[in-house]
Amino acid sequence: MERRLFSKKEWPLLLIIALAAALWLVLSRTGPGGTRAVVERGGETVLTRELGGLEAPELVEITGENGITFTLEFSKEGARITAASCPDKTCQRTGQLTRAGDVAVCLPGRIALRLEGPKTDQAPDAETY
Amino acid sequence: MRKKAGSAALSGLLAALALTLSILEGMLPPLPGMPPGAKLGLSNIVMMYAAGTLGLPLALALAVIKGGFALLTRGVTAGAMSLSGGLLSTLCAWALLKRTRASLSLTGVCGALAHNAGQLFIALMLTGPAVAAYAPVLAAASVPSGLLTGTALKLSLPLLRRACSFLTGDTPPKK
Repeated sequence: MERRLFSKKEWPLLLIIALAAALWLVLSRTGPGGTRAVVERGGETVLTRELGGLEAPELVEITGENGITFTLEFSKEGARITAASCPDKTCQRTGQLTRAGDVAVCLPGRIALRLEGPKTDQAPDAETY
Repeated sequence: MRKKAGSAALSGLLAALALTLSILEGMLPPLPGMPPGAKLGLSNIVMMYAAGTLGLPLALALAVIKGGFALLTRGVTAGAMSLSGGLLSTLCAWALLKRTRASLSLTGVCGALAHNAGQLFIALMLTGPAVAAYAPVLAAASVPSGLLTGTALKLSLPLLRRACSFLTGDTPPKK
């Protein structure tokens, strides 16, 4: 197997891939601020919080699949997973979610914490406290 | 006869290399600048070489062995993720290296993109559509990690070629 590391002919293609990926990333980070946190287990919503109505940060403990436990923190600023009993800690390292579309995922626990933006087609009093 | 035995030995050597790199990567602390969950994909260096020299069936078998190892050591989720990502990226590397004249950097980047796409698909199946929000982050991470694995393969090619010619009895191709 004899190959060059770079080929002159491929530069435009590599550049397009890199720019497209960077643009996609930037666009995904410019959404509106998240106003509602949704927790899903295996794709089903198990908990929602309207973040605007929170006076002080609220801690909630939930259990995912495989007995993995999580501590979630909801506040006016956003939501995050502060502790997870899963060895990977990927969801914990994701940090604070602030924008609509932000997501922290634990695959072994099948848990996804995501933020949604303001909704106009729903009555604002359909909240779960 | 020697060629067959040599090819078997080379497959075993590459499988061991891929597994070692996987373990090594698991021991590394999370890299600054890389999004949580995204890895460099060091074992893709070996998988690319396998796809380029051993041919598709053996390279895919290596991806299956790697997935099986992840299953045994890190559980079903990790096993399924490793298998789907490994199969797709190996297929991509084989197509680019054997069917086109693609460079190693392009092969690395496309392999990383394919690996992440395969893993994202399994994550979608397991956890639900919320995971799709992770796609832009993974796509962006694929570019530097793919360039890195492509460069690492280029640098380690002389050594791998020497091991390959020693085991199979082929004379290494001259530059």
